[in-house]
Amino acid sequence: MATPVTRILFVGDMHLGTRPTRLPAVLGDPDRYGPAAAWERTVTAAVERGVQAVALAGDVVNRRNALFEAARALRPGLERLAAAGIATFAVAGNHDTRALPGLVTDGVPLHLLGRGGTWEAVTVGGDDRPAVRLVGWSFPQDRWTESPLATPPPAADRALPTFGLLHADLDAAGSPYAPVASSALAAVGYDRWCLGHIHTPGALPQDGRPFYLGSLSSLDPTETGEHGPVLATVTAGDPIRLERLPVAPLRWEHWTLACPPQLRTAGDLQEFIYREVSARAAALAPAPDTALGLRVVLGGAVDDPAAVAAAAATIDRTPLRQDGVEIFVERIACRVRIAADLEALAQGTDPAGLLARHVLLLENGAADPAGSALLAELMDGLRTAAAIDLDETMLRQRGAAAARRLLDRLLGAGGRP
Amino acid sequence: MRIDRLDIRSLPGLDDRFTLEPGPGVNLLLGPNASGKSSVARAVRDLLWPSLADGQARWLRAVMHDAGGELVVTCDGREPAWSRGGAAAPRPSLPDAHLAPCYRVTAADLLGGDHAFDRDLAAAIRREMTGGIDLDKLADELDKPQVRRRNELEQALRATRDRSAEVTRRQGDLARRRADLDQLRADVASARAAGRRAEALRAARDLAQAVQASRDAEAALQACDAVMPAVNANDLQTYRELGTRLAAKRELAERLEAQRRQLADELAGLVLPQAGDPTTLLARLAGLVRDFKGAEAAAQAAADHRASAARLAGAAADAALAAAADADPQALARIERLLLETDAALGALEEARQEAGGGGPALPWLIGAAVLAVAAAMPLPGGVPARAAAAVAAIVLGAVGTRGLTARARRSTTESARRQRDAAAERLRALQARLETHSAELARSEALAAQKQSDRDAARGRVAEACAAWGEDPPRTGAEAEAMLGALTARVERAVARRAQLAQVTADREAASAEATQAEAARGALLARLGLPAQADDEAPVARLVDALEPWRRTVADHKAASAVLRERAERWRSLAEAAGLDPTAPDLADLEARIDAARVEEQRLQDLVGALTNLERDLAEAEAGHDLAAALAAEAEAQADLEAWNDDALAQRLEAALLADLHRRHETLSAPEDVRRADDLLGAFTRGRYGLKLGRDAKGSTFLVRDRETAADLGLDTLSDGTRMQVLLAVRLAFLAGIEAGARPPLFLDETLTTSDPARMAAIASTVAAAARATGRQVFYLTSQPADVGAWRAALAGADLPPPRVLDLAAARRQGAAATESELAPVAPAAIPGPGSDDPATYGRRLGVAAFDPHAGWEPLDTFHLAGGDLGLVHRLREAGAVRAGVLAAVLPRLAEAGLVSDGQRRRLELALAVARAFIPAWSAGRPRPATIADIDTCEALSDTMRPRALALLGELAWNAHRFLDALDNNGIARLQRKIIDDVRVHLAERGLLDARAPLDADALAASVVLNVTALNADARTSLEDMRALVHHLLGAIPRAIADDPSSRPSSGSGPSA
Repeated sequence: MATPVTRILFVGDMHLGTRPTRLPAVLGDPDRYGPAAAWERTVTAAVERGVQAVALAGDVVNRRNALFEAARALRPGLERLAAAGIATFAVAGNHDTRALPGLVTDGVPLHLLGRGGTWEAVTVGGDDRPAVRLVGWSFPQDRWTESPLATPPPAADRALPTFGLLHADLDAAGSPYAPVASSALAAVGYDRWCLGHIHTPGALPQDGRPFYLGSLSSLDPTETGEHGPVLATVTAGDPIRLERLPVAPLRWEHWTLACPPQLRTAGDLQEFIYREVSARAAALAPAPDTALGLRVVLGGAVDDPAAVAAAAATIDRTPLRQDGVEIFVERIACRVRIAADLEALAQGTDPAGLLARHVLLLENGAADPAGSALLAELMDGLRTAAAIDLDETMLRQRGAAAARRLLDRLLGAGGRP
Repeated sequence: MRIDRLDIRSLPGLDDRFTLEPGPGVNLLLGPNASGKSSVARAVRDLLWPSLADGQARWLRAVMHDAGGELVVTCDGREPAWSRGGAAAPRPSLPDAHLAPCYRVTAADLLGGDHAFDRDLAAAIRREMTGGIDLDKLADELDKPQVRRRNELEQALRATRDRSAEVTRRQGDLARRRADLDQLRADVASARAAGRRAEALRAARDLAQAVQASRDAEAALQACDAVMPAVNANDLQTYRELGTRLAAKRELAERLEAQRRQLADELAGLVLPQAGDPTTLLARLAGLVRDFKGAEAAAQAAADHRASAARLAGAAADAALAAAADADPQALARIERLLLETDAALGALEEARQEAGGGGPALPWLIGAAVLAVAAAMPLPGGVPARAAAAVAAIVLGAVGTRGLTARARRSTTESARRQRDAAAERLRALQARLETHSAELARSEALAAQKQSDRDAARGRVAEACAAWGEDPPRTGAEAEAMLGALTARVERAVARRAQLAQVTADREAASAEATQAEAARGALLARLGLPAQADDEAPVARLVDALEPWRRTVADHKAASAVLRERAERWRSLAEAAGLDPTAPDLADLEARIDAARVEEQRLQDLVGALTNLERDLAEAEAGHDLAAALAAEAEAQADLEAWNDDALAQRLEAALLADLHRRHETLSAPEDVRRADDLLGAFTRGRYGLKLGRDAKGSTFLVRDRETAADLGLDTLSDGTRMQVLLAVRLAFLAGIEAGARPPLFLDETLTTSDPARMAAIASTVAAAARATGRQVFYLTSQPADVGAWRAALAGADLPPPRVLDLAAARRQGAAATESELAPVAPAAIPGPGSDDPATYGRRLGVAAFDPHAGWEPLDTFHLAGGDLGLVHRLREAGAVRAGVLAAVLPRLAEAGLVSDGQRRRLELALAVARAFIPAWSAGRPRPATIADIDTCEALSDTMRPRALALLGELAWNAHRFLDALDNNGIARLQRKIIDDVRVHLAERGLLDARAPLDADALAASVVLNVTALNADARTSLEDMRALVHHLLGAIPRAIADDPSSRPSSGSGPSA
């Protein structure tokens, strides 16, 4: 006899009503790779895996498109789940405060937890399955500067596995999106805290420390890495198991490819990129019928950065289909460096030496006066020329990259290694 | 290397010999124009670089001194010879001849030409200092942010935002409309119910109208004559025909009756035998008549025969008479008498015959015939008729005597009678014979005739007897009998015909009467059918009925139609009433019109409501099925990302450019060759710190640039005043000399190069040159024709604690008299700068004419008065040292400190103040772009030459505010300026830094920013935060209100339209 289990599928920010951007036209309808498609796959996964409940961690819809298109995408999935006997719970995120309550009153089979900024608990499972408590809190309005814990949630119960479902801004004091401290949440004593709001998926914890489920599927090229719902399996007497399901139809990755020094021609570069991308994509083992979007940075020290840069501008970016996955390179940035000993170069007094010292100053990040002076000069220059303000970290980072490129140019121009 | 003695004995251009004994430092070679100053310099050059000499023979000798001791060079001819201690010595190591111009600097060299020498110099220095890397070229090759592209991306972003906002607004509207959906549906249902109700009520009204119409039709029908169903349209016609027929038949009957009566009368008028059949009787009569006529014919024949015999006798008589006449006139006369008598006899005969009732006595005839025969016997003219007539006459005459003869005789003429007398006599005789024959025949026929006459009379008697039955008089002759018979026959026939006619007429009359009766009966039946009395001929009632027939039929039809309508409407009412929920059994007709109107009003909304509902449902379906907003948001996100990518790239490009510029600056500062540093130092010294020197590029290539520390402007040589340019190039050459001299340092000749400098600048230059000469052991010759220069030099060197210059009066040396008196050569005291005395800072500032602070001009032009922190003594000293502007102060501060003009503490405070001033500018400039300038418009290629003046005028009206200027262009501020041009102008102004959408910092934020930046550069400054904040607020206070309140209220200093 199989051990009875209770399964809950946690779904992070879906932002239904959003269309993924930066997809090549050759992929066809971008909505095939959007949140609606991800939600449909998630529902299918929930049904196939026989979960007892699906829990949505807020930002179910995109606030700016919550009136029609998002609701249209959400309803069929909820009805499928209801038809399969799967209850769906949700907390309202900052995007949902107007749309989600309306949906619930519209007869959609969705239980909105913690409506109006209160804590609400429901029990999932029971009978012949382990009972699991789901406790949630919903945004009462778009902006909420108080911690959700300002109102105490139901107390932990050792005998009843409890999942906290919350849409909040972790460790961001002063945030207008329900700021809450990780430590405070962990101190509540729940078995798991599944959070929405930040789209970058967090590592799946083994304890009650909160983690972000992440967006259900990448919404834009900045949302890299594996996305998808998290399946929680509760078995009596066993630790709770969390597993991220690879159902997201779109995944973005930013890969820096270290170019070999002798790389020079477009053909060589094309082959190099193809080989690297193919190998790395295979290692990711994405689910079939999905897309993998890439932003590639060509890095490394090469003999002729200018040639590589020129070659990079001619790269054929036709999508590659591999194991049912559409792999496309959305952008290629050439950051190759000329092969040079920066430290040795910095000993010189010529412009290259001076620039090498700049690079070292900026890259090392030490708070020495020379570096600060350089940063101040750069900042003044930016402000004067383009009214740009950057914080020191960003300025240092971007300045270092610029200094690198300039050094490459300088060395290339001088014909020096 | 210094020249202790110079002997000139022969030199082209000089006609005398003389000796000069210069001093080791600065020598002032004084002499009027054309006194040989330049020749002296040329003489030294020819000795040191003989290859530059003009080839003419000369005699020159110089006693020199260098590290090796005394050195003599003599030129007796063309080539100089070197000797040391009396022995020939090698030429000392001197710079190449092409560098010789560096050792003789003339005002003409410095002021004129294209400075090719200096350019080459600059290029060489640049190459040397960058290790072969062309930083300028690299700067040119750097990618520049394409502001136009950013403009496009921003426009694209705005367009996508507009699009998503539009879709959002539309969906928002739709969502609000969705809230009305249920109400709309209810309204539609209500309106539909109202429509049904209105329809039912209208049906009820129609039904009521139908009932009334039916009743009216029924009443109309009832009002019609009851006989109308029996009335036919042709009844009147029938009636008329029957009447006509009746009249006709009656008239016919009457006419036939009259005819019958006439026939009867006529028949009655016909005398017919009383007994016996008239026809039979008539046949018998006919027989009798026939007999009578036969008898008469026989009598006639006998008479005719007798007449023939008589005629023959008469002819014979005529012939005899004629013959007699011819033969005897008397006979003719007798004949004539006979004719007359014959006529009379004939008359008498006729009378007698008449008297006898048709049958006369034969005798007269015989007599007449005899007479006639006599007459005929006489030859008569005129032919047979006449003769016949004469014969008849003769017969008649024969009856009456000789009367015919007489007439016959009268008709004959005497003459013809005479002609015929002879013939007649002849014939008379023949005729007499024949007359006798015929007279016999005549007598016999006379007898037969009498017999026949008798038979005839008998037959006539029988006829007469028969005639009595017919009421007829007995006919006298057969003709009469026959005529009578004919008449009787006609009478009988007429009687028969009349009888037949009478029968026919009687029958016809009876038939007509019968038909009249029948017509009358028919008419009676018609009238009876029409319910009319069988009256006489009066068609009016019938006509009335027939005329009423069509109305009646219409009435009937109306009635039928009304009934049908009533049924249909009753059925419709029941149906609609049930649909509308009304009682179908009895429509409530109360206030029907009002209720219909009310329902109609509600019903009239239905179409609008249904339309609205349909549209709403369609829009909702489309909104739910579409991806408009998702697509719009995605497009907006992509546009935003594109713009961010541009910003990212632009940031990288700007950073690269900033790094390169910094690299350039730092390298020039840190790694610049001694030449440039020395030149910079020298120029700074020459200009009391105002100008600095740097390498740069212009369109012609490498060149020197001068940094004006008062205006923070980098100036090209061409833009400098003559004096400054000379000072720059002098500094460059002086500095360069040190770099190129590997061994000996040849003397430097300055040929009136300071004539264009003001006294203070000249003093600075003089002291600097003297100091440099002293430091390097270089001998300097300053060639001048101005005695005042001597005083200036003396004053300058004295002020710098340097040895006084040696004055070489060339005129005196050439024994031409002193060039100037000693008093003319006295030192000139420089103008003093007023001290602060007891002034407060404000008063002292006003007295000094402290310039206002315009941050748009940068920090360099800032008056050092603002940086001294109220230390008026320091202000005075700085001004005396020429450090009036911050840029100058930054350059000379170390030297001033070194010279003890500022203390260490003052130096630190001034350095901090300078750092604050530097940081102040970008912080203050945030959101305060500089005002536009004429140059900004002049360099805008998007504007045509005709547009530029208008743009400048508009810009001036708008206080040179670029933002407002662009707003005005957007609002057609310059007519017919195309959108693309406006966009290009926007890009151009943005590229020139005239657009800054940031909010300006307030005083506290500005101070915080400045402090942050200063402390980032100088950690030690953290101990002086309050001082920095105070200085920031002081600087803010130093900005004129016009600039502080509206930075664009006037053009930037020196470059606006007032410049």
